[in-house]
Amino acid sequence: MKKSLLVLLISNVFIFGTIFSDNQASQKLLTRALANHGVLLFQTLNYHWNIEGKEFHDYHLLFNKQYNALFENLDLIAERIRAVGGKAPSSMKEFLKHATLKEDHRVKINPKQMIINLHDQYVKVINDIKQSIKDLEKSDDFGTRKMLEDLVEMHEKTKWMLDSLRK
Amino acid sequence: MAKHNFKISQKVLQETLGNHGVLMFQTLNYHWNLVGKEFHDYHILFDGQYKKLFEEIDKIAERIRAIEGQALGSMKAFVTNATIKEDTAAAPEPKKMIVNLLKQYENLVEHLRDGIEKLEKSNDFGTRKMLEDIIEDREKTAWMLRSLTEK
Repeated sequence: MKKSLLVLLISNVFIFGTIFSDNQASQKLLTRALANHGVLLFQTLNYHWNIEGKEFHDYHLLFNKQYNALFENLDLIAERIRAVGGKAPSSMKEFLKHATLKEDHRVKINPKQMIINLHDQYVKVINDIKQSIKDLEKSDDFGTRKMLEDLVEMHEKTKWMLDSLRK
Repeated sequence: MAKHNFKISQKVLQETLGNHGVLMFQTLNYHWNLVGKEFHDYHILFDGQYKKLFEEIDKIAERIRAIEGQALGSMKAFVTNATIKEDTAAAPEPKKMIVNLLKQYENLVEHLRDGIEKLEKSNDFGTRKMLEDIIEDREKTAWMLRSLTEK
């Protein structure tokens, strides 16, 4: 009897939690998206700075555009986390803790490989955000969903450009 | 130009680059997580500060490349090369933010002073000039932060 009461209590807490924790779900997936943007930002900076080869000038400018877009996104996503009641990560250490994307620490990479690596990272970011949009299917946090959709659209464009370059 | 001059410059610049990363994320943290009646005022203040730091990050990294060094390639590398510590604590109250940032700007400037002294016998004038420019500008921000802490 006692045990079933406990189970009932726990399941109620669980149900209560799933219904009313939509913002928490949004906060969590936004934090992950933010951290992944941080990783991608620094990878793009890395390539922007350390690239060598006949593609130098072309890719240096391309990566410049890409990292500026990522840096703007960083602010937008962090402010959205705040808007849905969460706290934005406080440091690079925190960013790395929340990121699902792995950092590329190599500084000597040939330009073609840079494009391939970035392309693969964009695919991962896009897939993660798409999953997040699905996870929010039953949530009424339309603002976050709209932002995630904007991010997908934007990153798919970059992915297409990188894809065209690597062929 | 003697090779060892480049090496010292590269190291000082890499540390400076790391320090700017740490300070930028601390400023972003405060820009985002700030709460209180100062919100609008400081949110805008920190906005200007982090954008400036981001511009500087690009300049410093490109200087490292100009003297044939490798720019830091990841957040992990930034944290490892920084001489100032990351503040991973939750955002404090606004007044404390100003005090903390001021302290970090002073730490950053102190490191730059040491760096310029290390380059005293080097003929890497370009790097020295850049470090001096950075000091001048960071000192201006430090003054503004200091003015905010005084009654």
